Amino acid sequence: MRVIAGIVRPDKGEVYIDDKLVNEVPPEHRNVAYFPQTYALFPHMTVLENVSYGLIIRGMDKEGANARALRILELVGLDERADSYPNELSGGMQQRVALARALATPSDILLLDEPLSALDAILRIELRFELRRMVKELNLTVIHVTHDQETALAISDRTVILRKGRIEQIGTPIEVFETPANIYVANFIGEMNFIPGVVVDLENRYLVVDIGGVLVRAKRALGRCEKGKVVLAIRPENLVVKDEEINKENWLSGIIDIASFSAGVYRYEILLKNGFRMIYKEPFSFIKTGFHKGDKVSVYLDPERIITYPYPAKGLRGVLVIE
Amino acid sequence: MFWLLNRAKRLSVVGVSKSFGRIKALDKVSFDVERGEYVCIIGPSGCGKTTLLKIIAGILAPDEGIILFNGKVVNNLPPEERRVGYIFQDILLFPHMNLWENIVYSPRVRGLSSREIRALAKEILDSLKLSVRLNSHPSELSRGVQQKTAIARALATEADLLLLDEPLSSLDYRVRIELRFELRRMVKELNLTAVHVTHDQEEAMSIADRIIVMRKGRIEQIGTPLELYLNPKNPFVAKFIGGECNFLEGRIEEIRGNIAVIKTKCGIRLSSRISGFKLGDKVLVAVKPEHFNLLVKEASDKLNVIDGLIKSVRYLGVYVRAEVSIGDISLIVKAPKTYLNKFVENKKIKLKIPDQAVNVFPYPHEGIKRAIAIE
Repeated sequence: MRVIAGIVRPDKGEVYIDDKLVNEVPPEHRNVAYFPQTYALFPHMTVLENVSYGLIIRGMDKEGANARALRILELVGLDERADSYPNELSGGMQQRVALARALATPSDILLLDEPLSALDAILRIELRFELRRMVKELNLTVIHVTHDQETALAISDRTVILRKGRIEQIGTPIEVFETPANIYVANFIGEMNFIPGVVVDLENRYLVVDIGGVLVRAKRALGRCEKGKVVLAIRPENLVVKDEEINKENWLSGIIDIASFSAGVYRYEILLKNGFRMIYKEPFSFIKTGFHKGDKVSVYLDPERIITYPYPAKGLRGVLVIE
Repeated sequence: MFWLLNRAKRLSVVGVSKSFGRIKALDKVSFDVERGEYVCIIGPSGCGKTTLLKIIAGILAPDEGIILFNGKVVNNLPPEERRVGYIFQDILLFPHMNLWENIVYSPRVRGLSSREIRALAKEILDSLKLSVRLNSHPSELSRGVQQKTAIARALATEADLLLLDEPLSSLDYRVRIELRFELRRMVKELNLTAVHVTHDQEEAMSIADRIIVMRKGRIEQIGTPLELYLNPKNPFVAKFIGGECNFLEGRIEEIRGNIAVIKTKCGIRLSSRISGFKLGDKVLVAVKPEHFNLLVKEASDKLNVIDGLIKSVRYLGVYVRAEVSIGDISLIVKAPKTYLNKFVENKKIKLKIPDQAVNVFPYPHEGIKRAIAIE
């Protein structure tokens, strides 16, 4: 963000805005608005003045600036507080004012660093979609940095996943969630089941993989992971779980170890007979009651929904550590 | 089990009030926590939840009301004699001591023999599944492990009531989710009683046996996660539990026994089980986004059926989320991601709301905005 804004110079590489090289352009001439995480409102100015300030110093007349500022305050739900001073607002409201100020500032690119992080969880969920709606309505280009992968999925057209200074994957929310480029991304975006195994046979469309003494089929991606140790990955909501004994291919039996429910989703941890632990997620339904701890179940690994990765040289645990 | 067997205590809070100047932080708060129960207190910032925890710990004195442990009033018992473990969001460890020294600090100060200390520490460490070397210093450990160590240290004081104030809030998302379930497992395994304060309703729902929803110093509702989710007592709880929520204004148009038909402002007719309403009453209806059913064919009955236009679609992982407009109002609808191909922007959609999904409340006299305001 700081390199794009021009505050930090890159050692190497180039930054283009509208296809124009801007490496030598100072920050104040880049027409990039950068809003760091620690927002500071002017304490002696009202909410309205805080939001219209950026417009006025860029030469807009006061009336026009106030009108635009009010419209954006309305979008963040704070138009009624336009005449309040920052210290009269809660922390969450102050962050919304800071966001309004960022959105009101005319710029080619808006850089937002964790703009929702100081909000209570419920407000954050609401404001995610609001922020996206506003950005689209105001026709802005936005780069939004967050450590919260749920926010990233919900808000973005595309997500760039960075790790230790490198890009791991760039893609739409569906792409990064359903076809993660590597184990790191698969683990970082949402919860994922990882099952270590060994490829024992190759079929036309499937790999036959030994996972702890049980053979399962997994979709074969040509030229990838065709022998040796592999890791099978499958999303918790892509499993099928039944409360009956099923002795068919790709069905494994186990027992519900942890049952919980939150935000419209049941989440279970299932202890499989072969010792593996699987997470299963199921959307709420009025028709079906949830499973309970101790229930005997069968788990289906749909071969088409399994993604296979090469077994990491550093071992599976080493790759899955986030901190 | 050496020290920790059957230690859980029963907690009762009776009529507790506390003011700071003109601000009433707690207003006649009463509830019980059973032995071995895991209770979460949730509410927006400033609802009084941290003040309540401090009063239970004995760090603050209530203006009114009593705190009981196992039926005995403890108001006059100083914090250090309450056998309460207090865990904060900011992880407090002695930075110059290694992990082991941090954990055995309290038993050492209390003068336990080294054999007793080893037995106690081993039991705690086993239940915490700390898989790091005990001679590491806090700065060498991840924040997740640091917080676990802080919990181990609190347990080593022989606390039988664990008070946790946003214990996971400073941790990374993934570590937070993992630790949620570990916290619960540990509390259950060691047979402790836990009161856990959080602003994150997902966290509370995942961990708690029961949840206390607080707002502006008062308790709004107490219940299991599913009870609060399916039968919220008021619009605020409906909004605060389970993520997003749709609210519709309407009037009772017809009553047949305990089933009423509500006509909403936007022209939808909804049936629901009700009690205590009469014909013509102004009501507020709450419907969770994931409680709609998609209808593929024309419904014979127009009751509970909505015809809308899909304005926007977002993919969220487990769910797909759509904003659906009906006249001049907009509803949030979520469906399992297998329905992704049915959610197409600018396409018409037919939805049905099952009776059980229609939560009816008296229209709030302070207006909708105020009734559900988080701040």
